[in-house]
Amino acid sequence: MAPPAQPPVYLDHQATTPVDPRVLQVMLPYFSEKFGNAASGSHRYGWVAEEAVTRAREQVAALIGASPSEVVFTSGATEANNLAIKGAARAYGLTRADKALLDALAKRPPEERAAITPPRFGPLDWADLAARGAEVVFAGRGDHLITVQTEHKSVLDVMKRLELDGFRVTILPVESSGLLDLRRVEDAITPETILLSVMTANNEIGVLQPIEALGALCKARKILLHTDAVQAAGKIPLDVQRLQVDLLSLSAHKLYGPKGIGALFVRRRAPRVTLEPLIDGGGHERGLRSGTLDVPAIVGFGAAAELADQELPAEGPRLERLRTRLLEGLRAGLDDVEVNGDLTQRLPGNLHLSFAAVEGEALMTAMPEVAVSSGSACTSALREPSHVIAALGFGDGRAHCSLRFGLGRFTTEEEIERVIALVVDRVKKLRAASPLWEAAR
Amino acid sequence: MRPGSEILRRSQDLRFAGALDSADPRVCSGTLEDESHGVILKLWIAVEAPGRIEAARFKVFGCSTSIACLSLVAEHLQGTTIEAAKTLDAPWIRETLALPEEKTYAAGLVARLLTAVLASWETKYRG
Repeated sequence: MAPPAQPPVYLDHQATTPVDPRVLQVMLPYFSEKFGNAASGSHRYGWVAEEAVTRAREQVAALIGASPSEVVFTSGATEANNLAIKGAARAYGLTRADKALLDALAKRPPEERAAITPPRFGPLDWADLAARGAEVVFAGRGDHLITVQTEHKSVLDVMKRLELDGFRVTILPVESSGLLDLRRVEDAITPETILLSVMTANNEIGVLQPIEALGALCKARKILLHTDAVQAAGKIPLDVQRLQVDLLSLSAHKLYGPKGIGALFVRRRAPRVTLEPLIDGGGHERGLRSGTLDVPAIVGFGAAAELADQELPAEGPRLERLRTRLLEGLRAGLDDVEVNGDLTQRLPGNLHLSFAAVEGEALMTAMPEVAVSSGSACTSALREPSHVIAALGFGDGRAHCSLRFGLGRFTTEEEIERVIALVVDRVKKLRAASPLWEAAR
Repeated sequence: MRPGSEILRRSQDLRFAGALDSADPRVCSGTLEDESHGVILKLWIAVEAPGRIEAARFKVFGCSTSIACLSLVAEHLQGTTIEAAKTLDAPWIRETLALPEEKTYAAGLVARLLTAVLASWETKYRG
């Protein structure tokens, strides 16, 4: 009988990570004997669950330098991004209906109008304003949002949705390094800007945006800063005080915790950020996210956050060494291997490469012994390059020849050596069959 | 691509990848570029009288399905006749590889290239 096939080397840690066995052990009792509802305050089962949630909230808060009361558990990062952006837009922004009301107020006789300045943060009482026939002076309250071309779809699609509600959205380009030019942000901010949303680390090319500088800029210009820190959390040090972010999204399954649980950091001091909830009913999570808490998942998230925090100082340099070896090994065996995105401002475990004359999906398929992801998807309609790689401005060719290697906690040196040998072999074979390679030679 | 699929197996079969000598009078070739799918296909056939294909070779830049389609056709061209080669059409490729709907374009591209190469041979030798 043939020996069982060796499982593929897993190098897709930006897609998801396996649950760390230590995390799983902590979670298991909460599926069985500790099954209580954390909102059941009248008996021991509920108290045990509530204590576990409290502990997990502290662990998640500690990972990002936040206060536990600033952590709102969600179903994942997509929901956290939705809550951050839609919640802020609805709390601080002017919807189409608000603008119609303003127009109506403006038509009142001048003697009936009194200029008032609403508070910078906090919802306006439109009924009161209408009753008083007041003309609103905006004082920064507005209808404008800013984000970046290379954001995750859970940010870009939210922005599109808000555009339909009457908000104006500026989507900034990135440099060929994948990094954001701060001057572009400065130029884009207007008196009507409510919020800037920029991810800490990109999920495809792993580049690290200058969040600390953006935080200082947003503070100075009195706008909210949201960052999707899903890829960065537990991989690089994060401190919401140092970074001066107001809203920060997290996901457990990117840091060796379970799927289906995430969190949003919502700043409570300087400024106290107000959000309109997306889900009502029960008033859980300070009224920002109603619904019975998934205690086992939250416990797992907390344990994963604590482990990631503890292991980060050693794990970051280890992954960087492995990544360096992977790149050097591939370049020693192959010509024309390009790195997509800045190599220094980057997650330690990410390497995004283009192999000239070889289609990424074809290469990925040619090496089932390695689990990676490619930068394009080909369908009957069109082949679609990743919007992130396309934003770097190198043209479709490079985008379609790209692969993402995501290294993680359980990646070994031996695996990296195997992957180098495999990739070199398969790229050479595919290049031998490629008319583009023939033309390039 | 799921393990065990015919597309996967074929896409990894590069036995007939390569080129034939275009200076050889028995050789006909063709190229098809489809920008919308990012595919470049090249096919060479060497034909012995009376109309038997002695050898076929291909080169391809494109997704694994494009490679699988061209590899399949190249294998079936070895030693066959021009008339039999004409039956290697898009529906046959689609069925043989059990292509999912969103990948059927690849069968169409490869069939178009084969038709063009066979027509080029007809023009060259039968006038």
